[in-house]
Amino acid sequence: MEALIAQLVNGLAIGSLYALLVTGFNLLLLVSAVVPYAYTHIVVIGMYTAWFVLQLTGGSLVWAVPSAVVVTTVVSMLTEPLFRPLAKKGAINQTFVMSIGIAMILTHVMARHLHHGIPVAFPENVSGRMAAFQFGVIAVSRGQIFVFFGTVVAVAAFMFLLYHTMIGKSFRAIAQSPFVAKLIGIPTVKMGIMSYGIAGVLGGVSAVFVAMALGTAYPALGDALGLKVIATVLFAGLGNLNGGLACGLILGIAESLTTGYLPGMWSNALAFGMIMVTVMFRPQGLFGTRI
Amino acid sequence: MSLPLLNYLSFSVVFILLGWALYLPYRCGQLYLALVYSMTAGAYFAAYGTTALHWPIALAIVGSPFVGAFFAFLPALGLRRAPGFTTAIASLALIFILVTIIRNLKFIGGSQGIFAIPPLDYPLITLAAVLFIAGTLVYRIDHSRLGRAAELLSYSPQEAECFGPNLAAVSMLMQVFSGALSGTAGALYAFTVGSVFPDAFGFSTLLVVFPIVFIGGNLTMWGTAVLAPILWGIPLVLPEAIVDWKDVVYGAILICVLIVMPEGVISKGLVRGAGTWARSFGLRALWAFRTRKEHASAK
Repeated sequence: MEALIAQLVNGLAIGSLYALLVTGFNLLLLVSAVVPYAYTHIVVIGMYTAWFVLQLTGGSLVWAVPSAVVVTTVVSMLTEPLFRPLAKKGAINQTFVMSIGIAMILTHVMARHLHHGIPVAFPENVSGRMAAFQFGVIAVSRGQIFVFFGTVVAVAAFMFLLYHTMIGKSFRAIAQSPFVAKLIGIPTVKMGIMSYGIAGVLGGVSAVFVAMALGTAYPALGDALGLKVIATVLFAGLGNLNGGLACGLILGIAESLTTGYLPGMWSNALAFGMIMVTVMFRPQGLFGTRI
Repeated sequence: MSLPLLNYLSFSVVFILLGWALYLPYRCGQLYLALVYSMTAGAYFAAYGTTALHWPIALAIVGSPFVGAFFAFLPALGLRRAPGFTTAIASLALIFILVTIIRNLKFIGGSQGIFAIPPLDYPLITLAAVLFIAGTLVYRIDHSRLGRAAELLSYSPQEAECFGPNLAAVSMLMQVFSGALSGTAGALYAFTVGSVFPDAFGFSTLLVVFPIVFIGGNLTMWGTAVLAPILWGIPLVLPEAIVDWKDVVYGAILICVLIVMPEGVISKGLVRGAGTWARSFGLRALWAFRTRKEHASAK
């Protein structure tokens, strides 16, 4: 029983990471009608930025966190003009291929020009792997607490923006119908650029939490996370924000339980197996598509 | 023939087959990424058959498209009605599922894979024959009712339904043909490299095929056939300092082509124009030959 609770705690921490990444992903999918596979690669760039700033400032989180957020926001907004022609045509498959091209470039930059491609390890004060609470086998680390509650705060802030501000109302209007949104005077291009910016901010925050959870960053992490995030989005339903949050947590817990109880490396197969089964019987996802 | 040249030709054929495997379902508007999944099945079939069961190589090559097609048929039963992008990710999932299963099966080598796969006896003839047969199959599909139904499906599924083609059947057939091509590519890969192991088959293989298809031309079969040897061969002849930037260059070209030339370099218009020019050139050459012959006989 203790082992089960320990795995559930791990799963909640990992699941909250997926939920936050899926939220940023879904924002771009809904507002800009693009499939941003390179989103997680931008998050990893943010992690590398945080690591470099930590090295330069002697471990100061006060400088590292805002630096990561700024870099991910800038990189995210720089990709907007590339997607705009395809998003206008509604060519969603081609936006996926385009984002793969961007991911190839970002992975190369990380593999050859950032720390010579060697994985970076975050210091103990960031990764927070020391146990804050211990009950027998159940160990809850500081990092896990920060990740979970930090995700809750970040998602709550995003939902507040989405449902209680004019910007959020504009996003929802564009997600519902870009044509009508333009007719009633919403500046769709400007809102699109803003969505990339907000997704970048979420990405920067995610970068810090991923660094806390994993304690390391490496060039291939973007691909590993990207595939999981896309799988979660599909599992929940394309563009379904609430569904994405729930499925992110479900996937994290399922992965953690699989790693703890099944022999061999079945966690990837489980995640993708869930997607396959869901798509076969319910192509619109568990909670329904919103695009 | 030198080994590097033979390897270059073998991998060119492998990537042409994989490119056609991506191209066929894309004709229906489906981004079907299970090429590597079927390629893995075909590669392991060929590897296990020739090493553990001591089959002749020809049997492995002939059987691999059927194995690839079978592996593609099973998920196609569920994916045939899935919308375009959903198919992409669900088919991508198959790679991870199959690779994880293979890692846990000891009798086919588990994580270590299968080694000492014999090389092809007559590599040039085999490669040429496989390419010719596969190319003919793809050409015939393209220019058949099935190909036209697939094209209509990619433009407008609703209109396609009104005209009668069974959309689910067309999607499924394209996925199965894609599986057959990928299975063959997997077998050729196994005989070229001499070993197969789970880590060799992953998302990174798709990252090589995407530029080939989308830069070369995603609406005709000729784009892949022309660009695969070029994109595969260029890094082999350039200096290492430039080859290091290969991924950046391919990524940048892919982005530019998607924005500027969404059909790719070799578009349908270009193929049609080339065909018209070739026909008119052939007709003029024939007319000139006959005229000369008549003058010669008159004299």
